Amino acid sequence: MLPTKIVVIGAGSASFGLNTLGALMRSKKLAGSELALVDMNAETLAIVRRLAERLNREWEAKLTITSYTRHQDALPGAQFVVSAIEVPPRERLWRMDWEIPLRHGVRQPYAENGGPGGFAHACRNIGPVLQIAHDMEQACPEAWFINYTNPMVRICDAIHRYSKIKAIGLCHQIFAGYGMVGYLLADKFGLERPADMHRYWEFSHQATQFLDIKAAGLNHFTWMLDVRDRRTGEDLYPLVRERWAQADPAFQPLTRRVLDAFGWMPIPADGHLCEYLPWVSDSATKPWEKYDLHLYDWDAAEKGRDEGHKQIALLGEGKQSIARLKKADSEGALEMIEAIAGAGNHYHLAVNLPNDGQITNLPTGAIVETPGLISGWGARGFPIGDMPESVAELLRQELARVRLSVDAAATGDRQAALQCLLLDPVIRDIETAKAVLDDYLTSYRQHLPQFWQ
Amino acid sequence: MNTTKIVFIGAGSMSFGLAMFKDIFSSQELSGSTLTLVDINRQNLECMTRLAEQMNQHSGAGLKIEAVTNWKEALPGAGFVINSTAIDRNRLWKLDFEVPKKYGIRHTLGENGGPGGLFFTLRTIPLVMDIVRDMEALCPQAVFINFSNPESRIILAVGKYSPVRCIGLCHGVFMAKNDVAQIMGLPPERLDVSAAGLNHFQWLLSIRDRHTGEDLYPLLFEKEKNFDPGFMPVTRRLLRAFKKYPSCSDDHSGEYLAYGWEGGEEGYDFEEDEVGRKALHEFVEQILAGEEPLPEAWFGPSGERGVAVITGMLHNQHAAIESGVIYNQGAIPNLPADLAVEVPVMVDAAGVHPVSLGPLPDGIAKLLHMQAGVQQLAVKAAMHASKELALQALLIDPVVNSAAAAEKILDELWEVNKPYIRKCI
Repeated sequence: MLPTKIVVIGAGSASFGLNTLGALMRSKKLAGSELALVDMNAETLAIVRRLAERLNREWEAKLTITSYTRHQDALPGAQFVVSAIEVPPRERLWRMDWEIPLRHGVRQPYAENGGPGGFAHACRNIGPVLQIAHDMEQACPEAWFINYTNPMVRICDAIHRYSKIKAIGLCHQIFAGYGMVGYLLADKFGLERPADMHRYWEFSHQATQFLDIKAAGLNHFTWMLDVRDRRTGEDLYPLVRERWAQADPAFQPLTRRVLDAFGWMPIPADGHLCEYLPWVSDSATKPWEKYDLHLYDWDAAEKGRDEGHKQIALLGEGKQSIARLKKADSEGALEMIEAIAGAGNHYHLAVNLPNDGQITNLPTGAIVETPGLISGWGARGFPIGDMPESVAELLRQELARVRLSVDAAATGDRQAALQCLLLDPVIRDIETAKAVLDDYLTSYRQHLPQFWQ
Repeated sequence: MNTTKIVFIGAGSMSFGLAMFKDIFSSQELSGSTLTLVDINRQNLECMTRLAEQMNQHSGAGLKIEAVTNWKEALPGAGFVINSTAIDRNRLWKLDFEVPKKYGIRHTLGENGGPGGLFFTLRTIPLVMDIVRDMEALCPQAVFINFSNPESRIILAVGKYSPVRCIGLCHGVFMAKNDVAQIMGLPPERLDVSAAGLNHFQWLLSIRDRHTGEDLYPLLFEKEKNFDPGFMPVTRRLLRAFKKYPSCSDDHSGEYLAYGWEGGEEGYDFEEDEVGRKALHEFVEQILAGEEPLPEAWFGPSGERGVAVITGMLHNQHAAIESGVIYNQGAIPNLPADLAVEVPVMVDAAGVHPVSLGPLPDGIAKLLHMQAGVQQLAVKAAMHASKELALQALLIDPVVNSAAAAEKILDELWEVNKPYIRKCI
């Protein structure tokens, strides 16, 4: 493979940065390439750079490592820009995304990618993401933007419709589906089921050895269209349905009900599934109690982040073993870069790309998630035809909100913003929508200059 | 190991049959599977069955070999049905080529496009639909793998009129790859190409160095300028005009073009074909009589992708196949959904998954659109056994340069093909 140039923006992020670094630097094909690390926090950047240099030395990766606090300085000549930026402080802002509507009587189940929280989250991140994309138009117009920032669908839609850059969104959420099905079918494959049913996710890696799942829809809102025994090719959908019916009622109760009602299993598990559904926010019936839906643990995540940075520092200073990084999961960036730059043929379980025929009953151009093939030609999603019509309608409703929030975020159009909230099933009243919007825009004024010009 | 039953209809065809055998018996992944050979020509069938048994024994591939003359007996339990049938191939093809020429049509092969392609369609579709209808009843889950021509029209008919899963395979993309490698002075195995379009008219959207990933189009344009002008002149005019290289050769692609004859009008070499066929037959007879050993070269890849598709599906390999002809339905978004197109595919236990390479460049899509209408009308004419629709198909074909000639050709070749034309809808 010819040497390439990869820019990693947000390289200081405790989990993303570490995993991406581990994955890219163990590659045998990237030797001779440049890895440009970017983080606006000079301190964390220095720590990550030290670790990168250690990996380069000890693993003989033969990469050229550079680092920048401004992405503009890193972009010239880049072929791949890997980004997981997040306007900080992530946990505190996310908590506010949830709390602000609550002040107006609107209780969301999760508030990250859908609902009013998804709107606010998208508005904050789209500005900086589009800044990168527009700088790429000048510095490296042919480069791929590999996005990990949430809300995935909205971020990719913004890049697709408001810049000339080609973007692909990668996400590991399909492994929640592997974990759930693996948990349900554990005995069939001779696996021991974890005692705690909430730890099904730990099963996902093992499950991929036995299962083969195809899912499509929107990111964090995909649906299992096909599930097979990886080795024999046997169709396991009938068995999966049977096992859901027999499973402990406390196991992913929302997913189970949606499967019963719609006939197809949602992939993302209850935690994310609830973000897009109209039936989980009624304060009178409190469905989040019925379905045992938990909010994100913001405090724990914040602590984990600090801990993560300490770990990176220890790794960089040679005080901890780097062996575990050999198994780091880049969530697809490595495979994508090697397949495109090296003319490979890589089957990827889930790629987020503009719809130009992958899903025939969703709007053209909408960002859809399907299995895909990544090759020298680029990343392409498989055409899967129509989604089941009732499911497609749920997806189209979310896509309407996606489009409005992206238009609002990209242009500062307050009317589009209001319409986005009014199309949200969590909101039942026009005045409430206006109050939530005003509160968001005022509280986040420093992050949302586009609405204040 | 997963096992299956492969029914090979038209297995008596010796040269293609041998190609399939090479792949089947050099594979270690079909052990325990059944290969059922079918041909109405009892003599050829027996000869090929004996050859299959010898190759199976020699290689230790471990298949079970069966042979029947009626496919209905073979279909129950089938996982894959390979079709390589042809009706009285050379005699009728020769007429498809010569009759239009007699009335002033300038064409290249008369096989998959132009008037010849129409009559080939009219007589072949009923046979294919008979097989497919029997599959619907006897092995509805099986995959129909077509190698017969007219490839596009067969896949269009099966895709449109039957729920049976199907894919057409052709080595055309490899011909184009070899040709561009030759022009660039590189070994073909160094190239990685991604192609999309129609069968025998697929466009190499990307040509890359397999090792470095480097885009080789700039090199192709540079080397092409000074390459032997006699080599694929029409294809190269298209390359210069549309900026992409079309597969698979002047004579095949030329069937879809009004000016295709500029690449040569000598047509298929039937004589050489007969000579080769006879020589191969004699050689196989010698092997079966024990006078010649099985050549080692017969236990290596043939260059066809039929077995790769079968093992990819059987063992759930998510195998990337360079090229497959499929019923479009969006794989090429700027060509009609109701059309057979050729794109890369991925195969696994869930089926055949076309890889969309996105919209074709506008000019190329518009060129292919012209052929799309011809193929749709020809298939419709065949399905309805309609002489009226057949005339329309001739009159929209870019190869047809005279309405008067079209009428005469239709009268003459309709009579010739009448025994095979019947309504199948």
